[in-house]
Amino acid sequence: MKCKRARALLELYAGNDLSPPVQKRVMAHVQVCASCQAEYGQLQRALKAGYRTLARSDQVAAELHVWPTVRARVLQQRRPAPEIRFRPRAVLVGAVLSALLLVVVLLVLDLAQFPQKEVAPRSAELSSAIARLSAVEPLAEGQGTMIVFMVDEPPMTVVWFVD
Amino acid sequence: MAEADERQLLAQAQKGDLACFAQVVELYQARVVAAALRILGDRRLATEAAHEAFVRLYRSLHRVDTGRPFYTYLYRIVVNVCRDLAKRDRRRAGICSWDDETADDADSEADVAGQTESAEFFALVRLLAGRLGVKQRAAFVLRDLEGLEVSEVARVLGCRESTVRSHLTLARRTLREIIEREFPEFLEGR
Repeated sequence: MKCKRARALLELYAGNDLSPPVQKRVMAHVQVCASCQAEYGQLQRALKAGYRTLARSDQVAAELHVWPTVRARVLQQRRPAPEIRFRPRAVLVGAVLSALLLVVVLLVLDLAQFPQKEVAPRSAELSSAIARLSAVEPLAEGQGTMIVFMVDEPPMTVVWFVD
Repeated sequence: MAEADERQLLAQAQKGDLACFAQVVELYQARVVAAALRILGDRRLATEAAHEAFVRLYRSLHRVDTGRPFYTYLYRIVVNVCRDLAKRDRRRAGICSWDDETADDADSEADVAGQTESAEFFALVRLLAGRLGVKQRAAFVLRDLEGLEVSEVARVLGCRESTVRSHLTLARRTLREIIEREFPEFLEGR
């Protein structure tokens, strides 16, 4: 292994993060190359100093207690949703809108399922009933008039006395 | 705590036992805060990150597989929270200047024993933060300071092992440069 290649791998070599065969090759080079050995020594010293300084956070971290805040936030999340307040205006508006919606739905259903009935046949029946006026007989003087209707459905005779 | 006890604790917490969840928080809070501090380099942000991480953990407790290492799952949440906070903090940069933050930290650190040591720590992390991205810092913190394997770091960060190695190379090189240039007195070994 050449110096250039070994130096590029020194940081990983220092942390034992290379694959075993590569780790061995770098080690073999560092052991025989004075320049790379010196470079590796400097790297190790700097890293150790850095780790020592960064380890001081443990002291700071040990003094912090996170549970009270975490507990408060967790309990806040667990609390049931607030009750819905009664608002008369909202209820009224809701009721009116619901009623309107119901009317619209019923109208649509009515138009879709029950087509409008024709009026003409009923009118024809009525006119036919009137046309079957059977007789108009004047009664004795001062006793009025008798009008007779013949109805087909249901079959009957209607007698009507008029003064 | 034994792994089996920890698993049982998590199972109880999953069933809604808040006391068990409190124990989980107690068990991991120092590691979570330390990791967040090392990634973010700001006490206020790190505390906020720890709070948010545990709240997110509580929300997603049902997704925790008690058969797998819990700390990788937790670290994943922590890294995501740190990334979100770092992003938010960058957006706020226009409002809150770096000097303001430093002054704020200096005040809050005043009551801590070993002020100088804390100041050196924060200064070093900030220098690292200025030159490395959150993922690179997270990879470095998880591997070199928290002691996770490269494969575990890859799982936490959701990337390939080769990417983690690349992050580690850059982070260690940067750390060396910063130590040699900014803190040469550290090399004498105090």
